[in-house]
Amino acid sequence: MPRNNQSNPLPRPASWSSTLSSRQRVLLHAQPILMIRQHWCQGGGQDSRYDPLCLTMKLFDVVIDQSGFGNEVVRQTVADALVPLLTALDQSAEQSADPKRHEHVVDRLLNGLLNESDHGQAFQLDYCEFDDAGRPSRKTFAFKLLKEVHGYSGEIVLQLSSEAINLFLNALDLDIESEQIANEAIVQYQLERGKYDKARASAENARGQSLRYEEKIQRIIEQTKRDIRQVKWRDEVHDIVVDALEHVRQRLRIEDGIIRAATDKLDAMDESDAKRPLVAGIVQLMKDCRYRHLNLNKLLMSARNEFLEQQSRQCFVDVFANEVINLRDDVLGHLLLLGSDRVLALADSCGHALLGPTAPVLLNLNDLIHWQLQPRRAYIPGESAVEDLDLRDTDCDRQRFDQEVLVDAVNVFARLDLPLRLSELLANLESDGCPVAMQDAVTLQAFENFDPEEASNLLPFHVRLAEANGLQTIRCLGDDLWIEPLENQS
Amino acid sequence: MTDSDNRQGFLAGRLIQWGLRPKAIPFNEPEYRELIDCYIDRPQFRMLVQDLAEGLGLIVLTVSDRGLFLGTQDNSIFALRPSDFRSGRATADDRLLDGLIQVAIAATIYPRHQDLDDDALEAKPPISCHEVDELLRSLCREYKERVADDPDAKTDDLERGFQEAWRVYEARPAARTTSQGNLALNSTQGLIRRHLHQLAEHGCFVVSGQEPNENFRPTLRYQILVKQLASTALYRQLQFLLEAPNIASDGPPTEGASHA
Repeated sequence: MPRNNQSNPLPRPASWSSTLSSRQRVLLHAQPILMIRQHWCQGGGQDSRYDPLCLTMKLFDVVIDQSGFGNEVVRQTVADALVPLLTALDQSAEQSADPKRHEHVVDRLLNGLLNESDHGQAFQLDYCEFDDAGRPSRKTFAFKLLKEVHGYSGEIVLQLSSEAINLFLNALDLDIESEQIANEAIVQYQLERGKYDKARASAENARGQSLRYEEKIQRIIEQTKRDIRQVKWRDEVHDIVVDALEHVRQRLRIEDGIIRAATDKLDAMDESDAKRPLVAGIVQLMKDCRYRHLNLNKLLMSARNEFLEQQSRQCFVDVFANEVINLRDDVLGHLLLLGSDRVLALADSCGHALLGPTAPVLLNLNDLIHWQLQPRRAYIPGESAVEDLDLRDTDCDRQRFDQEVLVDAVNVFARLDLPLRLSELLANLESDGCPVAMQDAVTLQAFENFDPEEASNLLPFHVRLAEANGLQTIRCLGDDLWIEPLENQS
Repeated sequence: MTDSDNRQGFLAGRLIQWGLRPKAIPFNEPEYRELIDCYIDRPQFRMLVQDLAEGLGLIVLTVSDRGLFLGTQDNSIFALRPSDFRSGRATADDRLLDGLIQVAIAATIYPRHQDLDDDALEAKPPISCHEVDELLRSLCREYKERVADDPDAKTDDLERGFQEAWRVYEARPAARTTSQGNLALNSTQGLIRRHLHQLAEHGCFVVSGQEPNENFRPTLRYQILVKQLASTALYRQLQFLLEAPNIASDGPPTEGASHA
């Protein structure tokens, strides 16, 4: 009987390529946005009528369009752009527009994209891939979509991550330069055939990619400034800068060509032609692209000098942050296990590093003497004389306190249900950590009730002498008083 | 010394003065902006500013269009200590809590080493008093469970003030309120709140919301301080203490000293 060699065939190794892994990663970028959408829809509340997908696309558009060259996008900028969309969605659902709800929706969307539920850390998503031997392995892909950064103006500003820009522009796995050149060709082609809407969309896409390129170079230079050792200048950056310079040169030439073609088209059009604003918009857009590229060019021209300068600046500097430190477990955790005496020693020797410098206040004797000896202000004819006020009329004791503190002090007396000495009341407030201003306000009101100047100022409690000179606190010396709520007087 | 040298010295002093104003930013101050440009563009001026800062007991941490960010060397006249935030006299336990709370605030913002690797420009989310307290208490709970078989501190240690720091923290109530409904200072959350407010006064945090929903967002100044100076200084000093168990006060030269 012939042996059947086909009965137990060897399994073929799984075939996989790195391109497939990178495409998976592209898809994963959309997952946080889709998850937000799912949560909003599942909730079924009033937010479900606002589709976070379209709001996210608009948000990305605003951040890309309005960032760079001194412009900064803050939360309000995003809100201003999204509110018209939210209002339109309200109208289509036959609901009235509510500014508070809109504010809530914008915050919710931003918090979702910032991953606030995980303290703004990167989104972490698992995916599966296969090695050369066909063995599967699970990997975690971490990325951010939106970031909050400290802006030039001191405000917290919004910035898209490179991944989000890529995602928005649908160009994640494409070569930036070829994509851009292709875009310019497309714009020219579309202009020639009168497809103005499409030409504008392509030109907008090209502008977005210019921003991405600028960010890439900017990041390298920033990284060089921070720590030159983190940048492989000789192996990688030099080539990037040379290529980018060539790329900018080509783009400027192409953009000039498009502007010329569009301007010719514009000149040939009648004033009344409805397409005229579209073509004018494309010219404006391409001028904006050219402006961005001239700036990028400036950045690139300074890059080499920047590197040399940073090299000379950083080569003798002791770089502090070069150890892998887990502040929670490696520092705080160990500190809690140490004896109190040693923690105190550490706090005294290193605590200043967490607080930053503060300028010590120096006494300027000259200023002090001048202030003390300053002559009475001269009477200038023409000014109306101010009547001298009696000090009692100024109510200066009360003026010292905020209205809020005085109200709180009244509440302290209102809560008393048993007679209490003023010294005891002040001791209780001190142990509660009550501010000194509050303690002083309580003392003042107690003494005002003891010897009232006006009956209308009386509070609902009675005060009588408890012990002459019996009140001795850090802030007050004098007679101690009994404070009795009115209902207890009987 | 020439007139030009004198002028450069004056400008270097001006720049350091701007750096000591925690809430000033170049965006709003043309002179500050100009001096920052000088620092970045002119190596000689940069050296002068660094020398001047070093002589004053300061460390130039970062200079960028966001400003000049300074740290302090050990024993600098400009150095603050966590216990300086107390107005009156403080016991050893109080000062211990002050130190722990300052480290815990930094650890709440940067709990993992990956967080310290992030770009300093990236703004960290706001924190609350409760989060800082919870971080410390979770570690205290962990240590308490570890010593479940022998939970009590040794009397000798207590008398000499040598008990572990976590016992001191755990002994304080987390939250007590005053008769006005505010957090009392004899609770750990009240103490954390005071430290965060003091840090805000020094330009390290921005406060938003009202108690009890107050939030504290770290500023760029604080993020740079922790990333570039404090984390390494604390870590190195702690390593020294762990390796030399009998030495409490004489630490290794920390960042400030080694930089000088």
